[in-house]
Amino acid sequence: MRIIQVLCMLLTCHLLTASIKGKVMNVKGEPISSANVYWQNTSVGTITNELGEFSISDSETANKLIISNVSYIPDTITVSNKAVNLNIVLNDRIQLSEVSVLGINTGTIKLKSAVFNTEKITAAELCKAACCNLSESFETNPSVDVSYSDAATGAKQIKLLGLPGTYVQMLTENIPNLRGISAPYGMGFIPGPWMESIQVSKGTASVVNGYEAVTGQINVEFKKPPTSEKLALNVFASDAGRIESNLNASVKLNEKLSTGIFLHASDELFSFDINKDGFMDMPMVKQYNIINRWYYKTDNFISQLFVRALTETRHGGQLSGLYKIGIESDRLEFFLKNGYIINQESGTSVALIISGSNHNQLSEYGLKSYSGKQNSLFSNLIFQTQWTHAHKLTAGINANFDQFNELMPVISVNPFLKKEFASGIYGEYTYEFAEKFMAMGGIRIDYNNLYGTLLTPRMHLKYSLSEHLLFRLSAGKGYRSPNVMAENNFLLAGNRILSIAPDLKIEKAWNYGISAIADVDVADKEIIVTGEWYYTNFDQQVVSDMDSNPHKVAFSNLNGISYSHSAQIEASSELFAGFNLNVAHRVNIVKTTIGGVLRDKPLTNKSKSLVTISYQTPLKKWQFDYTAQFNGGGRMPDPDLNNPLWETTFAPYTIMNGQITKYFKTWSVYLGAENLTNFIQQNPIIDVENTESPNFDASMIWGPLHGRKIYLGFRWAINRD
Amino acid sequence: MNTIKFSIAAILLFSSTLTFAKIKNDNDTIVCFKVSMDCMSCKQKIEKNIAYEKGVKALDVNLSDKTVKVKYNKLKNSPEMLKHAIEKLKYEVKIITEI
Repeated sequence: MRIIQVLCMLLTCHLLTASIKGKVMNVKGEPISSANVYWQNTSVGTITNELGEFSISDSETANKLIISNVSYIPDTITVSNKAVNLNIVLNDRIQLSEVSVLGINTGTIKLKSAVFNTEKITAAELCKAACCNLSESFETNPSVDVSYSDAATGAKQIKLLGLPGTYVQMLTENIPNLRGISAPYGMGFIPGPWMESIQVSKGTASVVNGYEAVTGQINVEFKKPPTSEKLALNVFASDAGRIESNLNASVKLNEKLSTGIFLHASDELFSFDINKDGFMDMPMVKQYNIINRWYYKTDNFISQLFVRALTETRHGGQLSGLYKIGIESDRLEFFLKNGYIINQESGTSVALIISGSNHNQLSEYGLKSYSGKQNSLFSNLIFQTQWTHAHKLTAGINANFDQFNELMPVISVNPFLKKEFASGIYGEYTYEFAEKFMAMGGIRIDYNNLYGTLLTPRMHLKYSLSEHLLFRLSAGKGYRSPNVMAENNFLLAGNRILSIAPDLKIEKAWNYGISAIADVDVADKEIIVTGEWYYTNFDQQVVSDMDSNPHKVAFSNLNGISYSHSAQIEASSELFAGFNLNVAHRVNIVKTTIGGVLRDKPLTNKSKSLVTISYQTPLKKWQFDYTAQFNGGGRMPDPDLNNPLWETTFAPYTIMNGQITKYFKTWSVYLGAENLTNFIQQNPIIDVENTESPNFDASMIWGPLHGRKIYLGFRWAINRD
Repeated sequence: MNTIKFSIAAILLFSSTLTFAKIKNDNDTIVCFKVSMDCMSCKQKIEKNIAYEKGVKALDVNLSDKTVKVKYNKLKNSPEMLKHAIEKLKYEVKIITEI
């Protein structure tokens, strides 16, 4: 038997010295046909067959193979061992962030090939925690913090680089989304089982999607019909009364056309009041959510259509008293993406993206109310060309329209009508030298009907000192149009008087970042160490002042300086087969001029540490995950000096989560617990017994509102071959 | 205090899992197959399915060598049955070594 094996190997080696064989595929493992494969600086080349396979005669003068296909970003491979069959993965050209993933389903991946400092959270990582929706998907991620906005509505906000999520550009499928009225509750609009991956990019972003993105971008990729499960079911229940179910189905109608449907329904079976303050600890949320998407692809054309409808109701407030909270949200959205390859030789393509949404919210907070309607339309025409591997140009024109119609009786101007139109042109040039150095410079000029002309320069550099050490630098400007009522109406759950200055300016900030990734070998173990520092400096900002008056929150233009420093260090390693350890620590220094004095931003943790431990048994039948978050303390808004009802600071606290997953051939079951130590913020609602009192306030939130939560879930899927 | 308690519990849980993983059996044996797989999703498909065949203890699917090594309990399975299980996934399979 061994003789035959040796003979086979010798024969294979002999054949391979005459030609190099391999296969070209995309990040999903699907074969790429008609890809050009040729030796660098020679005329020797071939193309891949329908299975993505190629065979090219050996070259005596060259050892670098160039692989290109107009739908994908070209790649150059150094062929050191010509006896080995090559498996080459090309990245999709339509994707704006350059993702290079060789092993999929490996959790969170730092994307070394991207010029941006990007982490990709894969579907496998999302399965490590309950991850019922987007807001719960960052529990194992050290970069993004998620917290409740207030103690009554269940609205959640994220923080990136120590600053609120409003400064992060939220994208779905690389299209801006969840802006304005949908921002406070939008994190709950994306169910976990619908997501294929999440990309978190820190620092200034590409100019392609507009002038927003001050501190970074978070992009959610939904599952795609050609590659997602044929049929998948997920059901989830927690001891907090939450039940959720998700059904995904997709079908390939023919080689070019496929479609998928995604359904979500969730409800709360009962409410609870563990802290006995008379208020529900969490509102009861009921949601129905549906997506239908179509995918059409030929050799030089890709078209995608996506439509979504959502309805959600939230009921919170007092269990038996009169103070009730009710929020109804209805949302319709669509996008249409078309990509056409003009010239395969020069890698020239054009894409047109059109998206739109209609969002309606009706809400009551005790005797106060807010209703808002928002219609948005976004279009982007993108031209890309890459005349050699080293030079790439992206240019385009885009337009964004937002129409708001808001009614908030506590504010003097009613109804508040706003039509904002912004249109701009942009160009972005990328230069790559010898796979060591990459520079990207982008600029865009926009005209905004409310704020005039806006110039947005952005720059990124990446330098690989060696295979094991990589540096990135970035600098760029971002803007954000304030939508104070739309984004802060949850503050009505309390009796703070809202005051909004009439002349609010567009927010402007510069963001600068430096980061490094190193692979270090210690005792034959590879440890990936990353370090980064980001500085955001506001030229203009809308400041929310909760300090000057404990019974008021005033929104006004920044009068002074405002900045944020965020430094993070992280180390991760597979200590032995299947056992991964990740340790991270971050320090935030966030200061804003409030009432003429430069102060720490209230309700912001000064530091955060995260430890995640993950173990998967050798046959991947069992998985154990454990996360501990050590959140640093911070400052509270100033209490009333004559009648202090809360402390001036909050103390550090720890949150732990754990989950055990048992995999079977087509299904899996998971049992987990959030907040294992049962830590909750005591007395989260100020003067809770007197909802008429000016002291009644639900916005003084710095910690968790619900204690230990046990959950059980079940996943079943028929995967695509 | 709670923090320390839960950290210890978590470490104990992990170490007990690892102890179970190290238990060996004299009936364990290894077979190696040459398989006509050529993509990352093929590797995952084989890993996902063969792990659930009777008696399988460990699996090493090597995409570049196109080999699948299976450690299994010989009282519960055989090379032919494992070969048949991989063939059912629509790959051509040859047994290259038996240890």
